Amino acid sequence: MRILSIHADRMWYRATKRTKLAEEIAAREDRMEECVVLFACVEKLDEKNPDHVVESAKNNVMARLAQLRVSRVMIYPYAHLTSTLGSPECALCILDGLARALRTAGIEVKRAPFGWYKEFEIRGKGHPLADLSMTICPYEGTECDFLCPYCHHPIKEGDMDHVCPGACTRKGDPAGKETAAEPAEQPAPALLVLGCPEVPVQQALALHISHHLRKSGTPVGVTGNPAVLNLLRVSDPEKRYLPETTVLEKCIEEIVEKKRDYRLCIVLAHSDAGITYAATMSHLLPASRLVVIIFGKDPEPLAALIDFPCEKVIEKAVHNPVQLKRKINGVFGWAA
Amino acid sequence: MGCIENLKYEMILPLGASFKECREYVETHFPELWYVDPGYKLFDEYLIGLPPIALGIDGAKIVFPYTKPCHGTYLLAIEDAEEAARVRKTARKKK
Repeated sequence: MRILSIHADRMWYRATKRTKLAEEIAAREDRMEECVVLFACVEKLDEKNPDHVVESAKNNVMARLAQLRVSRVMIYPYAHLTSTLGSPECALCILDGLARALRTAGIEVKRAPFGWYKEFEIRGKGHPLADLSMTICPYEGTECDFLCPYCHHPIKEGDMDHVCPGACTRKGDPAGKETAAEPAEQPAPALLVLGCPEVPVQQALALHISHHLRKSGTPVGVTGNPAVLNLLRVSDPEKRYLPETTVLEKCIEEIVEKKRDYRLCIVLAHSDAGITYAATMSHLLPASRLVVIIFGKDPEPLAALIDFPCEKVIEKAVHNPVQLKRKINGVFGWAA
Repeated sequence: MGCIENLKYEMILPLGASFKECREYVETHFPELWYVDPGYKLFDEYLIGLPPIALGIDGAKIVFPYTKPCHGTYLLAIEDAEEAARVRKTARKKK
């Protein structure tokens, strides 16, 4: 189940036209003030265990409401959040189930009609936590996305403190000490492109680079062939360093189809194929900063193949990453 | 390019050829030459390579480079009249 949650000053809708799936409704128009609007979409997988999805969605939504200190919800059926829609029967069952579960928990709930074209007006509050996306997993029952890499909490504590002063207490801190971090703008994501895993330093450098980028608040996507991604998953089972991995072909497809964009692309290349990937990224991401790290037994001839604009970091490195790590740190201004 | 591996292909240049060698081979062995950029869709997959990527066509046979991280670049040929016609319509003649 996908939910786009928007903390709003007000929300208004009017059902304009029925579809063949339209439910019967008493009123075409409704509104709500000082509420959280849940644009919600039931997916095919949710049909496996609708009750579990309802319970999980309720728990996730209740957690959000508690963080925002809101007790009014408008559930707005919105099919456009997924490409794998669940059946209309299951969707209605889950949306109504969520409405009932929230009411039982003391929340004032309205639900917009299902199966109608609707016009709507919303005024979002626009604070750092106002707009949030939730993915309710029918297996795990938890929100799968946007976990903080440090505390494993879905939301950064610093952002909480800004929105609800005094509401945020650090997990495990018996004194309930408030955090005081300033909310930050989400920086543009970086892409780390890996080559064949046969050169051992690559694995270490990938974790090192991702660690530093994420430490500076830059989201990192990692791409490579299935072998290199499997190695990384084994090295990083909790996805602390490399939360998002995509097979290279899929990554290229998403960039070509403008589903993803990156402002920084770092390519680790120790073979002709690696240079080929760098050239591809240079062409597909013309506006991004491209850094090609050329390593292996004999990196100079490989570096000579590069005739496209990029920053090069060249160092002979197979088993010992230390010297190359220093060079990389120097390029990005990272402390040793 | 998992689906290309499932197609019936002929290997023109084997493992170990560099991307530039593949391009030179296409340019010197195939009179009907076409050029595309990385990200061009061929056989339902997006091509990887140093731009411009040279494609050779011989009748209905398309000759193109195929890069795999652990192996390097291969030069493959696949016969497909429909796809060859599409390349002729969408690719460019000049580098």
